Amino acid sequence: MLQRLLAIVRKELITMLRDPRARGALILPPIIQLFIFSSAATMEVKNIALAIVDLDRGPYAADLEQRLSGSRSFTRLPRYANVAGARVALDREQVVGILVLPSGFSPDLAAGRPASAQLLLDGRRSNAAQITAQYVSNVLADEGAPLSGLTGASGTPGTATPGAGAPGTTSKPNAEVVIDNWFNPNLDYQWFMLPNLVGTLSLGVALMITALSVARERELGTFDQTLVSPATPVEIALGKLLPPLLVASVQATLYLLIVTLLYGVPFRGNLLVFYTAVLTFAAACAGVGLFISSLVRTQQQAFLGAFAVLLPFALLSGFATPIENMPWWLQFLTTINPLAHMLRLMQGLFLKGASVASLAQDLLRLLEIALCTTAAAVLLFRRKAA
Amino acid sequence: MSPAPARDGEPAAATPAARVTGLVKTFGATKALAGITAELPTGRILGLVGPDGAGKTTLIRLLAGLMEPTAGAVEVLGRTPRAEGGTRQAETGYMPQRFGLYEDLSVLDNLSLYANLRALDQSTRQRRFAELLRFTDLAPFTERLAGRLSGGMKQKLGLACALLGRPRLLLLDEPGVGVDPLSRRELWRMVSELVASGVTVLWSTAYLEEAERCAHIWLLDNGRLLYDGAPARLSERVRGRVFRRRVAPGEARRVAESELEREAVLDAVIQGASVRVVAKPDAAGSFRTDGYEPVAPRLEDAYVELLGGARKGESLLARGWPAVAQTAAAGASSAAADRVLVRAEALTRRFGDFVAADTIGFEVRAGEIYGLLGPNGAGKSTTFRMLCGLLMPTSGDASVAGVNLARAASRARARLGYMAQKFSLYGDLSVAQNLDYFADIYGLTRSAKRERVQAMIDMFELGPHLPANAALLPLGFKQRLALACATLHAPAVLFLDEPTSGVDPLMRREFWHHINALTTRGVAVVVTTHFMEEAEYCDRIGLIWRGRKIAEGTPDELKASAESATHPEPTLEDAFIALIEGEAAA
Repeated sequence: MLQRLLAIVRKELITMLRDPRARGALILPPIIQLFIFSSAATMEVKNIALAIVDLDRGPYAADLEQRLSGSRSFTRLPRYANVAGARVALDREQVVGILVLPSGFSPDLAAGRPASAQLLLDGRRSNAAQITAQYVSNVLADEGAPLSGLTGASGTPGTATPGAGAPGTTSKPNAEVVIDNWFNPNLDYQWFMLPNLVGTLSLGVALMITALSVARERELGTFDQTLVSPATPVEIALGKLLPPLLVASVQATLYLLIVTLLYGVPFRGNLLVFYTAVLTFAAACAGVGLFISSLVRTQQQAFLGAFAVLLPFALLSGFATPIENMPWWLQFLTTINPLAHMLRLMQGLFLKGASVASLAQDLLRLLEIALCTTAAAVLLFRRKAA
Repeated sequence: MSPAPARDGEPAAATPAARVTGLVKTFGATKALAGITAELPTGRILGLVGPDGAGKTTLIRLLAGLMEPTAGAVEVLGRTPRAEGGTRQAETGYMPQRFGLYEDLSVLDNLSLYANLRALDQSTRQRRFAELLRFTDLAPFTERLAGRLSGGMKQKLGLACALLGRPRLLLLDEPGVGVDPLSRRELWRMVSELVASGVTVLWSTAYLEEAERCAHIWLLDNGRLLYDGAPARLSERVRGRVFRRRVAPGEARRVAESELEREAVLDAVIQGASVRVVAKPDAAGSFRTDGYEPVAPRLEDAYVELLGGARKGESLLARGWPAVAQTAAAGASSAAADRVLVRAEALTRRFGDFVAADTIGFEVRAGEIYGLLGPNGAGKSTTFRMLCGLLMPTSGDASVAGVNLARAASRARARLGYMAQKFSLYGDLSVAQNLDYFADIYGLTRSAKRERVQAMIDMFELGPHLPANAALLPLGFKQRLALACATLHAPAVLFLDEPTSGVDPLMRREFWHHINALTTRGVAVVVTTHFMEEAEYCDRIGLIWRGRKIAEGTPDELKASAESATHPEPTLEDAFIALIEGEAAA
């Protein structure tokens, strides 16, 4: 039994790794994806343009502009003579918003009167607009800090309503919110992104390897040759499930090194927990992959099948949208989604350094899911293979 | 050869339909065609013969204008194929090995699709469809999905699609592969009709019995043209040197082996209960004795001589085979030589309403070769797959070496060896890794593994190929490796699914040389085949048709049952067809 199982595992690994190109295809794309996605899939607002319509031409307006251009969020601050001109740029999505500094902005501030500026935002780009509004009001608030009695004003996204300036006092701003971001003090989006990618990318690998492997053997005719041997379907199924675990843990190690050494994301958790999570998660995914593989006849079908589950897994994981915002029935689905648990585990391990106890719940859940998918896959495989 | 017969209204009859001059085609370091010069006579069937990898497909694709030659020139119907793409399409019909039928479309949809590709107008199309459907007998099946047609019907549909444009030259790449004798005969009839109407046909095949029927053949080997002319003329080379020796039942294999040992013998093959012997030149005299009856030469006799004669020597595979007692360890009373090793009892398999195999029963004894024959889709493969445990029977029992496949599948499978028609080893693994894998999966102990693997490497001369990927081996070595992997564990029963499909006669002889020798060690063999030379090696044959076993017997018994006034000496293929037609009429 063990000899046969090991023979199958070895055969699977050789098939995957013997050919230099196949080897490259296994290791390189996920690493490249890690680099690309961590840069691309960011929700930070960088590289955007904000139009300035300076009707004030006073010292405060100039200072404000200086500060905005110092922010790394805004690459360009094109100036327009009037709102109509800027509006054309906004319509064409050349700028995400228009900051209108009315005449009297500087004199008002200088005189200690409440001043108001108008921020027009492109509602079509709601995310960027929201964050721009945040940035600009922060800068306006900053502007107010050294100049006593001043707070900035901002408009609401997409509307032309002038923001109401808070009434100034002579000593300090009338309200102050001190924000302290735990676990990710600088709110670096990559810190959130990279641990998530570690989970998501290993999902793809473990699922694809198993989903395609049986179909591939069917297409090549090698499957029959193994089926007529004394190897039992359970042995063959296990032989198909184990190699992805190995590949996933090698990849996870690479990710761990890249994410911590190259990106400087802290790893605050326990390595044993990390690898337990990776292996359990890979087993859960490989189970799903083998299940798909048992149902299909060709690699093309397997590929489509894998894709059909990959997307829901990713969307219902909390990767892109917060689980708390989903309706209850989708929230329920996330509890049986291995990726959702994996992402929480990864965030806990990388950013929170959570104790084993606090991770145990997700780990246990993941283990249950892994047992279910692999058992179902082996049963189905046995039924279909015989 | 005689000049091509002139045809009415065909002034071009004397000029060749195609001409290749110094044709060379290389793929990287491989030379697929190594300088070929020949002419394709108009209005005939030209047989393009040669083993897999000889360069047949390359030559056809060059004629079809699908690739450019590395050197040399191609001229088809007076033009260089590629230079004038438009006319090439219309005048040349090409049917690749696996015709590009859309399996999810119906027969009619497939025809329409190819008609669209050829931009046939509506009225021509209707007329042409009607003609072709009548010609191919596919009219009752126009709504059937192409994927659900039998192998023979698929080939006919492929042919119909290739004929849509009324080509003057028809290139058929191995139309007979995977097609049963019945459908092959029908295809041949259709092609002959086309030739009668003035079309030139190139029919490529790995089988010499097919080639023998052609008016003219090109014999390719290793990218070289070995022979260009009428097949009968080639056969003449061995005239007077071919004999048939009738032998006692069950003696054919032993006699064939001993004949082959003789210095004077070039080739010896089994034909049912007789052995066909080809003498070396100048050695025919020693066969003018009792028991040797001179017979007409066949193309295959001459071909084997052209390639240097059959390989001689004892089968090392059999010599290295573990002692019989060990092989037959499953039963205590295994001493009996006639022990039944394969038993099928009322094997039935249903797919929905369709009964693919209907209460099929037979037995195969130790040392016996049993052939499963039948048309495509008759249930032969279904039966075969149930016997080696790849398919669960709906009812009935199958057992191998006394072990029931349903009750102790793994133990039963440990006793059988399996070799598929298609190369089914792991192509991405090296030769050594394949041997290693199969030794482990069959549970060989460390010492047995070392010994058996080394024995296989020595016997099949695999040494230099050990690090090579199995997929990249030459066909002959693939065949050897497949046999090695299937027999590493010294199985009691060997299941062979069209084992020598596409290989040249010498390779087939080598293969059967080993198989025959194994039967002397008590191994039982079950083989499926569409080719009658292979069926002649069987001790007994079961003919399957429409899911039932309609006949069983020795090759000679089957032939005798088909004897008639019109066919006083039927071949096995005649018998096959007569038996099925008899059953269909009943």
